[in-house]
Amino acid sequence: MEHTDIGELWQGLLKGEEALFLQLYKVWYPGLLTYGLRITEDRELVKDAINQTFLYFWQKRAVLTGVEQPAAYMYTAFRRRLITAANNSNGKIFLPGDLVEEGLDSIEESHETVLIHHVNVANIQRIIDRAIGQLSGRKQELIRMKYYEGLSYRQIANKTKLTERTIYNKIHEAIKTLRANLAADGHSGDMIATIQLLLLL
Amino acid sequence: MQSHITVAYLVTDESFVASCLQQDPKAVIYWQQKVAANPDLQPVIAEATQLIAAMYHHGLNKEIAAGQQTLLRMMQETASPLPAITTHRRLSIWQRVAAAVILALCTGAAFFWFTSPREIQYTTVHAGTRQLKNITLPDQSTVWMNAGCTLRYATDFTAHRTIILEEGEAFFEVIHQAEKPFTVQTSNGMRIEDLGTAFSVKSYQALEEESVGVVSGKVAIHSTAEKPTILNAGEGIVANRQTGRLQVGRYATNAADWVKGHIVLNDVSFRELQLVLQNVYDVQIVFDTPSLENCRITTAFYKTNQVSEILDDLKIVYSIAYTKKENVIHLTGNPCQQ
Repeated sequence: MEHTDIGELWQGLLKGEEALFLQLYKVWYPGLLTYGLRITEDRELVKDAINQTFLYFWQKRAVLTGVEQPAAYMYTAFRRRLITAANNSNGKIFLPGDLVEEGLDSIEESHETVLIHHVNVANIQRIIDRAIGQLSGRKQELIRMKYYEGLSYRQIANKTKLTERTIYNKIHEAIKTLRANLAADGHSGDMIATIQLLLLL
Repeated sequence: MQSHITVAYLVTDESFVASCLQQDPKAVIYWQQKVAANPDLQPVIAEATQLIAAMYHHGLNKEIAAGQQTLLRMMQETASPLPAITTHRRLSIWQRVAAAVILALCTGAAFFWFTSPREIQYTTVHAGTRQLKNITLPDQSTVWMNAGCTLRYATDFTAHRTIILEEGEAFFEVIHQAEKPFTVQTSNGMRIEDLGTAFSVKSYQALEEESVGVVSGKVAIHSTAEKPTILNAGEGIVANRQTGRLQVGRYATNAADWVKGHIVLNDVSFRELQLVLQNVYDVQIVFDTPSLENCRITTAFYKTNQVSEILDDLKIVYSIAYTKKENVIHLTGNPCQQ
């Protein structure tokens, strides 16, 4: 998790500093996405609502100076926008309770407790990024759907029209390539194994 | 060593991936138990977990970078004129209560840009929970601020008689000066220009509607691309922030009696009732029936009433139920279906 001072970034937005505003976007994005996907499973709709919400902040920054709790305000504005958009698109909506009901902490917590955000990957991220970048476009897409979106093989098959077996094989090949890249860079299995095992916490 | 469980096996295993991404609680428990029973699996599991985490972060970072590009493009596109909002006017149909009603108004997602006085220095005033604040502006006009209201006014007020109502409800009694317009802007971009007046403006960020009611004199309401709408005493306007729908109607001047501690809610959402009760009584209202928040309600009470008295009244009229525990009140029921 990136620990950045939200207050500072929020001030950056109020002053119209684009770089700080984009940083704010980066810091808040994972939490908003997680929260949004609890409201609707339409990922594109959630992404669009995130952008629309931030665009609104940017346009209205001159009048946002009275906002005392930026995070609470942001979730409320986002939720309202997303629900309206989801209603308009007839998407399936699961309505989690309102902020008032649920409390901001529980929302942020639900995102913070996602284990994956706490696994330390700093030492291998650069290698993985580069190695993924060298895979074929198809394999990159499959990796994204499987490990970022977390789709099952069957869901990926429905989306790509490939068979589950083909998908499995392609991902298997891709993983082999990634691990070969890690090994070439000195990250053997033994070294990685010394890393704290978060799954056991 | 259980040789059949390798890193490659784990990383491609549906259940293990779902466990790492915490999509499936059963999978999480399964793998926790598995590793507890087989401690020698730890290194393999650690490596697989880290590999999955790195792939997850790769996807997340790429998506964020793409989102930032999209956002930047949208910011550039809308730096110039914003999309026009269709505004239409019709006589209020949703006012079910005779006594008083509001009228409506518009949203101008955009026109704030044309009027935004960004170089002007402002003084900010806030009325806290349970507070009712009366301030006198440098031009001797007065403002009553209801609990939870925040507004800003130009520090050099004699030159710019501009008020920005950021949140909440405020009542203005304006010393009219023809050559120096007195205007109130809401956070949503609605602009109210005084033409010799006492008027009330309500604009809660959490609510879909904002409204203006005129008690005496008249005001001009400015919105996008429309010529100003003139409201006289006893008239009001309600704007829906999202649809841009504008409704004009009558305004019961006693709705502005909140300055004297008499609160009148005419055909407002439960969401607004929630806000008002939170501001006035410092209680937290929770809708156990989520659909309740958009149901509409009409009621009136004095601040000297107990919150339980108000709710007891509503219980009968709207067939709702409530429980109160210290400062938290839970509401259930569905009056929309009546």
